[in-house]
Amino acid sequence: MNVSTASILVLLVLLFPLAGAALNGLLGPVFGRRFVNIAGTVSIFASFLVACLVLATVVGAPSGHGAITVRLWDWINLGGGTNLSVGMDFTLDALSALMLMVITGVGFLIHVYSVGYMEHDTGFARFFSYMNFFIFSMLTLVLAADLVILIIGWALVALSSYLLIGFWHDRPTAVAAARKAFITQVIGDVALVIAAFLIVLNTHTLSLPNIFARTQAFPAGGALVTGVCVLLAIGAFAKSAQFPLHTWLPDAMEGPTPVSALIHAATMVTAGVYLIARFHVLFNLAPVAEGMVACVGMGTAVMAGIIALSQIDIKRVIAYSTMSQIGLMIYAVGIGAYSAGMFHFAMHAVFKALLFMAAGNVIHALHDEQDIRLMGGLHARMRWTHLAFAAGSFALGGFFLFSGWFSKEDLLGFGTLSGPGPAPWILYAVGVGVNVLTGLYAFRLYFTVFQGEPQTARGFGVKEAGYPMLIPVVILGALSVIVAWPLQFPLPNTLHVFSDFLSPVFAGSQSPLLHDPSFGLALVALVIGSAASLLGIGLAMRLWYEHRPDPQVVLASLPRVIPLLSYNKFYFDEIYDRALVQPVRAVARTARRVVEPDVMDSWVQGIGELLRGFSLDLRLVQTGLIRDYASIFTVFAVVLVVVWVFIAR
Amino acid sequence: MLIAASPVPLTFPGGRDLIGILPELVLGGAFLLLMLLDLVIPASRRSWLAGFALLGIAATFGVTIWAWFDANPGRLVYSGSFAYDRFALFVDAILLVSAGLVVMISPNYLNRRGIHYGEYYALILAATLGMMLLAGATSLMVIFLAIELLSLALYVLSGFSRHEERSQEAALKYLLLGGFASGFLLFGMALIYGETGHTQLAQIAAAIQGQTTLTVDPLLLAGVLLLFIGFAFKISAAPFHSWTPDVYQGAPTSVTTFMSVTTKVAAFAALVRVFTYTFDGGGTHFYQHWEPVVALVAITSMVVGNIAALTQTSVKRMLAYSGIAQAGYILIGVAVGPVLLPSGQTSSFGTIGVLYYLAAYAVTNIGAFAVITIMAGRGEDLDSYDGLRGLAHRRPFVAASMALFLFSLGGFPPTAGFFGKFLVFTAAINAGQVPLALWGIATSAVSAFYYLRVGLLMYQRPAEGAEEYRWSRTGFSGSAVLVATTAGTLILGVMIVLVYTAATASLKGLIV
Repeated sequence: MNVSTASILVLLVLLFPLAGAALNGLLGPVFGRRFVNIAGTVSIFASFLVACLVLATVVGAPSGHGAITVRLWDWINLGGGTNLSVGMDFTLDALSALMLMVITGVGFLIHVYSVGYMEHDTGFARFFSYMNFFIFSMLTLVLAADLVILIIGWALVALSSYLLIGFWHDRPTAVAAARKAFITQVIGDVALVIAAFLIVLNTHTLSLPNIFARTQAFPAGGALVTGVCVLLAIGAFAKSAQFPLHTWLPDAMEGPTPVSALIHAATMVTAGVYLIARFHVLFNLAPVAEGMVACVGMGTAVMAGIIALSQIDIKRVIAYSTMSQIGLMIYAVGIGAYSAGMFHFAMHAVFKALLFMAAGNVIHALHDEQDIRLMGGLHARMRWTHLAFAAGSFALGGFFLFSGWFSKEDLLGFGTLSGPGPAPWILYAVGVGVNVLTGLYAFRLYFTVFQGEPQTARGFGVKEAGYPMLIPVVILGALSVIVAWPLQFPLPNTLHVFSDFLSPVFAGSQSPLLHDPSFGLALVALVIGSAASLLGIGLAMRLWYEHRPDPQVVLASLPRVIPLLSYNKFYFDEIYDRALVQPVRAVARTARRVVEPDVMDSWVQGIGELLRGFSLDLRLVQTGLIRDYASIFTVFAVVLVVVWVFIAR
Repeated sequence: MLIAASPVPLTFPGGRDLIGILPELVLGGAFLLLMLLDLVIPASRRSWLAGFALLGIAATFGVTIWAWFDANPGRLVYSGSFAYDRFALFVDAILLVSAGLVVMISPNYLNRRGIHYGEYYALILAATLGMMLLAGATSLMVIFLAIELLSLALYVLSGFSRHEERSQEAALKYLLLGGFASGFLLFGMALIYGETGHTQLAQIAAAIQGQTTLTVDPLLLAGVLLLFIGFAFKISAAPFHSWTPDVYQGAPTSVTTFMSVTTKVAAFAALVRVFTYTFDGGGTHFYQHWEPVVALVAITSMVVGNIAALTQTSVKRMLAYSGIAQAGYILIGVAVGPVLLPSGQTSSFGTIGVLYYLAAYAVTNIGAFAVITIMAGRGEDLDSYDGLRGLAHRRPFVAASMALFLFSLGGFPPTAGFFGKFLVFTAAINAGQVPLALWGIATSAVSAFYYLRVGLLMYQRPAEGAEEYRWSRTGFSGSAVLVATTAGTLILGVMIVLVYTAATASLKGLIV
């Protein structure tokens, strides 16, 4: 791949969604729905085709030449001793090619789905404009080879997420959710920007390849690199909804369902995983930060899994399952198993987008009902959606030979030996527990929604969704069964197409935490992990299908604290509300009552009035009379010359 | 007493001299042709004249582009009184693009105002010709003649609305005060000539190098300052700005569009050539004697322009004060001058900043004025703030581009205006003149108030029962100008390198 080919590919893959966004936003309202549907989906499909070309060139490149960084143009290059240079730099390598494929591929299917989903919404042009713009932002983020561009992409995805969560801006809950998401993201943005400052301060460059080449600026294990990585990780946590910055994700379900599928399941929320994988060179130098990342990931996985068990809103259950699965990916990149983390990302994007879209079909069919207690028995009336949802649930639950099984077991297998002392074993054990939890919540949802009897009269009258909403679901359903088969088998020395593909990206440096398990150990881990998943699924079947014992009975037998914590999401919203929101509001109220009128207003108004006064005085000088103007001119000229030449100097 | 013989003997201009002023020759030819065409083209076909003027400008632009490649390295022509160099050609390009855009928006506007006379286009070309001469002038004589050529054309253009008292008043004010300022300019030139014995910049520079830092000639310095005051009038820097709001408001809007941008561009080009590169004084550091005065005028301009703009209620006056403030920002780049880096090299960052700022200011300001030119109703100017109220709901695209121009004037990234300010402020900080940058930043903050206020007005819903201004149709040429200026404002903000590289190259080619 030469530079000019790569530049053209980068330009095209970015320009199609951007053009789609501009066309839909500017001309969509004029040309109407048919135009928007076509422009919105075709732009992403074109981008997807280019992404396929990128993948082909990366795969086809001779070994060692699969990565290329192109500078489309210098954005800022000041030379002249300042050394400030920001280039429109983009990287094409295995990692970005993978991200491109997922973003544009899954993104395209979700756009097709949106055609059906937004059929009766009057804001369709705005919707497709935002969606196209999101794809553009996300592609910018994953292609960026310059810190500034990366941060721009990072901020733009937050912006598009904000716009899309608050898409129905006449709903107060949606607006509040959008605001919450954005504010949480900004916390991460700040951390990321501080990390960027530290990096620039020590490497004197903004270009990512140069940063990774100048690691001598970061002593291994030192406080500096640990600080940088912790800050990067905080940025990643905010974007990927990890503890303690996770509370925005469930609320984000206020957005239209395709948005949840695209942004809050398949792509944006996994940007944190991508960020850590992209900065793996730095993370490999900071084992402490890596350990922190792994623990936070696994902790979030458990917490979200427990919460998912008791939620009653279909989209929120899936949202918590997303949080839990991203926790596993974060855990994987934390222990240095980057390929495994990215593999789970790719598989998860497929089956989680599917689950969201199938849930959207259910919600649509039940006329915007989201409470799973009022669903049930949909399998007979929504045959295809049911099949696809079942496939997605098996994949999510990690059932043998479904895509989720390959990626989850792969990732857990690496966990057995990664790290000092008993820590990896504890994390591994927790991971096995997460497998059980996943099976439980995935199939609680499936059985409650699709099996049993309809719980409301509406449930008897449901109809299968239309083709635009069905075909993407079925395609993804088929994919979530077979997509992993040719890619990866979760045992060493077997089929490893996927990790071989990514290995050039991560070959340069190796995490000190990562130790490949032997074949035997991996096999044992695989059997235990698969058994745990099966156990979870089986338990779910007993509880929510056969009702032996009835879940209510089990619930009553548990200590009251567990269901309370789970149902109330560990009270995080309440804690944050009491500890952060309320105090800040109290301070703000006080400020408004006391500080504002007495101090700020008098100051600000004072300055304002002062300037206004000056301004009005200046108007007085502007008499409009030529003699006055000439006098002013002369006086100033003479005074200036006389004072400066003969007195002041 | 005998007058000393000129060191360069007078000769008939040769081919190399003629090539040196080829762009000016082409434009001058177009100007003469246009005057003749006006006699044969019927009154109902006056728009054709705009087409011919545009052709002339395009041809000149083409020649300028060719000359850009030819003038490497540049040379002095006409016995050292005119520079054929990339610096002048870079400025010429800005001037020609600006003139072209103004010509494009003029016919519709002039028709609506009922003042569509043929000499309008000839006068625009004459003024542009004067400005191009000013950009390349390397002799005090040529500088003066160029300024008079552009000024005379602009005096007439300001009063182009013959039946309107306000326009007449503007023209008269501009004429009288302009003549007044020319007096200062000439007096300064006379003093400089008296003290150095030369009118050509290269020889003046050589004479100044003979000075010693301790005993600088007070009359020479007085001359330099008076010359600067003459220029300060042209760039409308405070406190020599009084004419600006009245003339900008009184003149027809298309004329205001033209002169608010091009006069500044040409005068700043001359300022850079004369002050930064002639009066630097080489090893004697003569520039230290005039830089504080330029800095003072820069600060005064930024403060007066921005503060006075706060309470305006007329768009044209607000943009006039905004132009005064912008002149202050650009003057920072002149005041910083060439900086001697610790490494021994000279950094001309400030001058690059000036050139970048001029390009950014040209596209942005023409865009902003073009909006009120194009939108003006039949027989009147769109001048009061109320005329823009609710524009966004009727003309979303026009309002969006106007908002972009206002953002750019206010210096918000990623627009052209941001990088203009960024470069001159950076230059000031590099030169150790941090207070200058701080003044700039503080006054920029003030400026956000009045720019955004107009932006908000456009996006407000008109009050219940209130009558909307009757905006004109944008038309094809109007749309083209808005698209071009919008694109320019964005490109200068996103692809800085394009103009930055050209500015750097033009600076390398600058000769005195």
